[in-house]
Amino acid sequence: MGRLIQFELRKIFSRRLTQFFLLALFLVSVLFMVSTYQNKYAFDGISREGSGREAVEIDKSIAEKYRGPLTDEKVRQMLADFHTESDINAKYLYQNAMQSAVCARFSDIDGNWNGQTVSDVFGDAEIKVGYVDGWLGVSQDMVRIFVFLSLVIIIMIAPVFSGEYGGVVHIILSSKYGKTKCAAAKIIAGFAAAIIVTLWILGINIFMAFVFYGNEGLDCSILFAPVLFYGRVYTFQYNLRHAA
Amino acid sequence: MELEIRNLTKQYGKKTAVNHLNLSLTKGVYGLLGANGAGKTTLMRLICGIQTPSAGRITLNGRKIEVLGENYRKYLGYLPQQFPYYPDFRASDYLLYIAALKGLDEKKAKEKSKELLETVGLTKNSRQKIRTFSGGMKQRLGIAQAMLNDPHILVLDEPTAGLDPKERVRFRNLISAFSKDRIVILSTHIVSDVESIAEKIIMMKSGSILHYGKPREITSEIQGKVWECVVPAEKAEQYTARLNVSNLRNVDNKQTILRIISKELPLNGALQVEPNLEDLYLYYFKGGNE
Repeated sequence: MGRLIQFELRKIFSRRLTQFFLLALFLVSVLFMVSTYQNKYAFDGISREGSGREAVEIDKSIAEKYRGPLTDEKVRQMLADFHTESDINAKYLYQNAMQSAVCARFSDIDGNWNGQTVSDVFGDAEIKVGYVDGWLGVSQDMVRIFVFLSLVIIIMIAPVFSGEYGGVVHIILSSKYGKTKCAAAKIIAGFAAAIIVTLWILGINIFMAFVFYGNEGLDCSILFAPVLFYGRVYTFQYNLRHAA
Repeated sequence: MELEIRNLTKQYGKKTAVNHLNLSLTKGVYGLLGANGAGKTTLMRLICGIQTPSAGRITLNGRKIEVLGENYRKYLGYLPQQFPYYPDFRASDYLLYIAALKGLDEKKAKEKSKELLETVGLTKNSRQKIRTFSGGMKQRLGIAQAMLNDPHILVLDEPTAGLDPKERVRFRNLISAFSKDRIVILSTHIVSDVESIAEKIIMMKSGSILHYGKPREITSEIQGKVWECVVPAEKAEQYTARLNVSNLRNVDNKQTILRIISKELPLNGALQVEPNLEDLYLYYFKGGNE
């Protein structure tokens, strides 16, 4: 059975169409990762401003300043540090990841404290502050990549049975295991191929995330995310909060 | 070992491909002859358990092949009419895959694949992808896959299609050597292939058996109906159109020898000759009996 599964996997991955779409999936992953990285923007509120690598460096240095558990004192300190005069509602103003995260939850439209405490917003959950913006960007890209991934898996798996109807089916059906173990091997290989490709693309994205953003913020809370993620990953936050 | 076919019928809608066929096969090489649509391929697929009969049964040593299942298929080797393959597989990988389907353990599969690749003259090409193979090479690989499990029942549908004369001779020798204590059923349009290796001929027409017996026995049917005659070369075409000519050979630019199948003297000066299978085939499938 093991060898039959191996051969079925080989059949799946040796198809040119599969190889083409896996390459396309890899390129889409790289494109999303590079595009997200290049589009990062940060302004430290004083003088340092930049995009791409510079923006990540700025966000990391700001995160370092407030590293540790989020407290009401830290919130007020952040609001004071990032206070700016603007016509735009402070909740939607984006200077850097930390400013955006704090204003989205704790400021009124003028950028002043809205009276909410950390426990009012996050309940009993301990919020560790750090640089989470990069990895959050990766997770957001992964959601989009997974849509492509599911299409690629469908294209890969579709010919597992139908592909045999070019005539090979007659040889298969006349062989000892053609009507028994072969069918089971095909089903197992289909699932295995889907899992392998998912892990592969996950591995590639995690590797690139380490290369682009390092391991900073992995121990921090993603609940304290900038406004960009606040709405979009609401369900995710909601579930985490309830799970806690 | 006895493969018995009783009252076997296969219908596709209103069309009857195999019609109440009865046959008993023991060890030996059986040549299946018939025109396109005679039911040869359907019969072979039924024997291999690929298709289920509409009526009747096939038994091996008295037990139904459907009941035997894996215990029947482990004795089978089958080469379909058009050899199917995975274009991105290498020849050796393809054989190993089929060996896995046939239930051979890894060690034996490797040994047997190597041995058969050598037998069919593909050792040097074993690492080549099948899509790069010529028609003859693919056919030889197909023959190799059918023999991987040392089948007791070997079913070959048009095995010599695409083979050059040298390969055909090699194939005939291979089958002759292999057929000892086994049942080999082969269908082909190349009558000379069947004539040289088949011990018994099964001639099919419209899903039924027209003739069954040794080549010499069944050709006796048209004894006295095969003639040879020398005619002027310019008239050869005219005679070919009017008569059932099985062969035409120019002896020089002016004269042609015609081999004619006819119940009566077809031309003045024609001489009776010994019939062969090709004559019999044409007698039935070129309207000579009508």
